[in-house]
Formats: sequence, structure tokens, C-alpha cells
Amino acid sequence: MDYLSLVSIVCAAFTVAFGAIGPALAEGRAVAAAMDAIARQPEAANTISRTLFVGLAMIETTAIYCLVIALLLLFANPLLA
Amino acid sequence: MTIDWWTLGLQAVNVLILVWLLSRVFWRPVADAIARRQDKVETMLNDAQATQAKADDMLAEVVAARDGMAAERNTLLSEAALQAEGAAKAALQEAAAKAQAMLKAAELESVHVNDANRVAAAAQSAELAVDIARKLLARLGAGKANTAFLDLLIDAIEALPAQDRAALTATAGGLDLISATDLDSATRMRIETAVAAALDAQPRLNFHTDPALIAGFELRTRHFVLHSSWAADLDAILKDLKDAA
Amino acid sequence: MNSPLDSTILFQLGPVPIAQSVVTTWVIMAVLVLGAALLTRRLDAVPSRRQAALELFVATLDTQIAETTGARPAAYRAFIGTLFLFILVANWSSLVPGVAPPTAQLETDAALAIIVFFSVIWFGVRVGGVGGYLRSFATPNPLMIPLNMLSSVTRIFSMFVRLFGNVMSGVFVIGIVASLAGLLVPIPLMALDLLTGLVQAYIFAVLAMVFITSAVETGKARSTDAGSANSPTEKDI
Repeated sequence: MDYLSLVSIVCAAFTVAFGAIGPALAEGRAVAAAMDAIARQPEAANTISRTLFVGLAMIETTAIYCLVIALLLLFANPLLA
Repeated sequence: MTIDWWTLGLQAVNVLILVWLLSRVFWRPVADAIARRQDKVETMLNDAQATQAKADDMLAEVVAARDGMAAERNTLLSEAALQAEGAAKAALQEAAAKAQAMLKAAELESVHVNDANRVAAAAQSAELAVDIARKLLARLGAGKANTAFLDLLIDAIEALPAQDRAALTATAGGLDLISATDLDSATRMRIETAVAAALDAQPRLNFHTDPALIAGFELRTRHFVLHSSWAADLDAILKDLKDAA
Repeated sequence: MNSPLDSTILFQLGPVPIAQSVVTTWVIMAVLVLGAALLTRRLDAVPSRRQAALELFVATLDTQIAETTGARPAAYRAFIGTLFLFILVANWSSLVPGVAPPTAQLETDAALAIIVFFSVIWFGVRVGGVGGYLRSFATPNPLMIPLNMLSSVTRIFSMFVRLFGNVMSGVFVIGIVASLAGLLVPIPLMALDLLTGLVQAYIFAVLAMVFITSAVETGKARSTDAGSANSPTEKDI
């Protein structure tokens, strides 16, 4: 097998793996902060949880970017064409 | 990675067409419905406010009218109270006056009663006195008094007016001469002569007795009576006493 | 395994190749328009339950737009609302068996992002004029002009990749799990997909709104600044 495709596959795996670390930590912090806020102000739970979901989606987008890069490496690698 | 530009263009056109269609079919009608209802609600609210203002005015009017009525009632009540007070006072005065009048009348009546009592007592005493006198005179007897009473009778006959004397003489059936005791014939003769002398005529005398006369005589026709006796005198005295009382 | 980045061409219409996503989009458009026409067929002053639900939806959208822009929502309602509705229905169309959502294809997301890009220019120019819109690149100072121009492109590209990545990854993961584990196993993932689809549609609409607002606000602020500079007494009032 060509070493380029080997490197691409390894890189795709690393992209997804490392790209998931940051968003995971960030989402953990965000949820913790949201829980704290809801515990302080239960009456604002609706607004907080809505903002939390949007924020989580935004954070998750970072991981999704990594996934897209991985998919590009696997399926649309210009060096392999 | 290849982007199909035809597909991209088609999708862009699709989305734009969808925006246009939905804005015509969905967004504008619903928003218009909302706006229409908001307008309607606003006008209804304004109407309701106007109606409420009107109702408030009417309520104020009613309250004012009711206050007026209450004031009127108060004045009426006070007037009625005043009238009642006046009437009560008048009735009281009237009653007092009536009571006074009745008191006066009662006083007067008592005076009258007293008078009557006094009169009755005087009459009774007069009757008593006459009774006493009658009994005393009855014990005294007729004897001597008869002569005096005969004289008195003769005097009375003579004192009569001429017409009466003529009527006396003309009486049919004679005259009744009533004496207290039975008269002997001498006395009867004397009396007949005396009467005849007094009357200038010769009437027939029918002699009767009546012990109630006590002493004296009575000359009776059918039309009149000539008294000349203790009883007649006592009766006259009693009458005088009663009249005096 | 097929690349999720490629689109399948169904048939050729003259020179134009018609992809599967385009056909799905047409179906979605037909469903949306017919459904809207049916739902808004009879609108009274006294709403039925159906009309009350529609009005609640529209009123919520209006509230969101008003909160984000601080302007009257009538001008943006159709554009933002249609974006949201279309992306939502397209995302959820993955629930229908055999249907690949159009937003899982690069072209559809790219088309949406480009429409947002031009709509920002359109609304900015309409409110502030060409000059006002161009001046909005010079905030906070002219040194930022290249950075602002770059960001106006990259934020659109970010929107495009975000929507594409989320929807495509959902479909992709479900496909992998279904091929590995079996028929009913990916159901929890599909439920998660529902949530992701809703949130992504919401985010896309809100981001479009925010971009439009930033262009409109800076243009408006510039024009009012210029106006008050011309007549300084106006400020005191």
C-alpha cells in the first residue's frame, strides 16, 4: 500500500481523536456551568437550557470540523487521486 | 471532493422560490391575521373603555341622584319629625286645656251638687219642721181654731172677685165643705149662715170630714178649692221654705 | 462505502444533471407550500386551534427576530422563517426511509450559505445604502477592512460546513451503525439526530439574522452619525 494513503488514514484517525478532546472538555465545562446557574436560579432554567443547547451545538461544530477534515482525508484526498 | 455547480445553482434557485412562495402563502396571511385581530382587539378595547367611561358617568349620576334622594328624604324626615313634634305639642296643649276645662266643669258640677244637696237638705228640714208642726197642731185639736178658720174662710170668700162668687153660687149640686172633724148641727148652721152672708146667696152645702186638714175648712167646687186650714197653711209654708231654699 | 461528499445524479435534464438532493428539495418544497396553503386556507378573527398554533409559531419567530435585531420583524420574517422551516424539514426528512436529506449534501448547504451571504449584502444596502454598507467594513477602524472582508466570507463558510458536517455526520453515523449492528439499533441516534436537526436549523437562522443585523446596524449607525454631524442640535433633543 502506498505510504500516502497509510498516512492519510492515520491522520484521519488522529484528527477525529484529538479533535474530540477539546469539544468534550468544553462541553463538560459548559454543562457544569449551566447546572450551577440552574441551581442558583431555577426560574431561569428555560433560558439557560436553551442557551446551553445552542452553545453545545456550537462547540460540537468544532468536532464536526475535524470529522469533515477526516472525511476529506479519506474520501477526497487530492494527493491520492 | 467535487462541487456540482449545476446542483448548487438549482438548490439556490429552489430556496429562493421557496422563500417567495412561502411569503405569499404562509407568512403574510398569518401575520395579516394577527395584525387584523390586534386591530380588532384594540378597537374593541377602545370601545370597551368608552363604554366603561359612559358607565362610570352614569354610575356617578346615579350616585348623585341617590345622594339627592337621601338628602330629600332627610329633609322630609326632619320636616315630618318637626310636624309630628308640633302636632304632639298641639295635642298636648289641647289635652291640657281639655283637662283644665273638665276640671273646671267638675268643680262647677260639684258646686251644683253641693247646692242641690243643700237644697234637698233644706227641703227635708222644711218637711220635717212642717211634720213636727202638723203633729203639734193635731194634738192641739180643732175646737177653738175652727172659729178662726171659719172667719178666714169667710174673709177669703168675700175677697173673691164678684164673678167667682157668682160662679160659686151658680154651681150645680152645691158646694162641698170639708172639715177636719165632724161638725155639730149648731156649727153647721153657723157656717151656713156665714157663707150665705158672704155670698149673698143660699147655696147648698154638703158637709164632709177629712182628718188630714188637722183643723179648719175647705170649700170645694168642681172647679176650684178655697183653703182655710192648718194643712193648707202648712203646705204653703213648706212651699215657701222650699222656694227659699 | 460511498463517499458522503459525493452526490448521486439521478437523471440528465438536457445539459443539466439533476441530483437526488434537488429532487428531494422539490418534494420538500411541494410539501411545504401545499401544507402552508392548506393550513392558512381559512383564517378568522376568532382563531381555531390550527390557526392559534400557526399564530403562536409566527409570533414566536417575530419575538426572536425582534429580540435579535431590535427592529420590526416584518421585513425579515419571510426570509428567516423560510430558512428555518426548510432546513428543519430537510434535516428531519432523514427519518423517512430511503430519503437522504438534502442538507447532507454539500451543494444544498453551499447554496444556503451563499444565499445568506447575498442577503446580508441586500439588507445592508437596502437599509444603509451602498456607501453605508461598504462603510460597515471599516468598523471599528479602516485597518480592519481586510479582516472584516475575510470574516464576512469565512463566517459564511463556517455556517456552510457546520450545517453540512452536523447533518452529514448524523446520516453517516446512522448508516455505519445500521450496517454494523442491525436494523433497530440506530434508533437512539436518530432521536439525537432530531435534536441536532432542530438545533442546527435554529442556529443557522439565528446566525443569518445576526449577520444581517450587524450589517444593518453598522450601516444605520453610520447614517445616523452622519445625520447628527450635519445637525448637531438634533442630538440634544
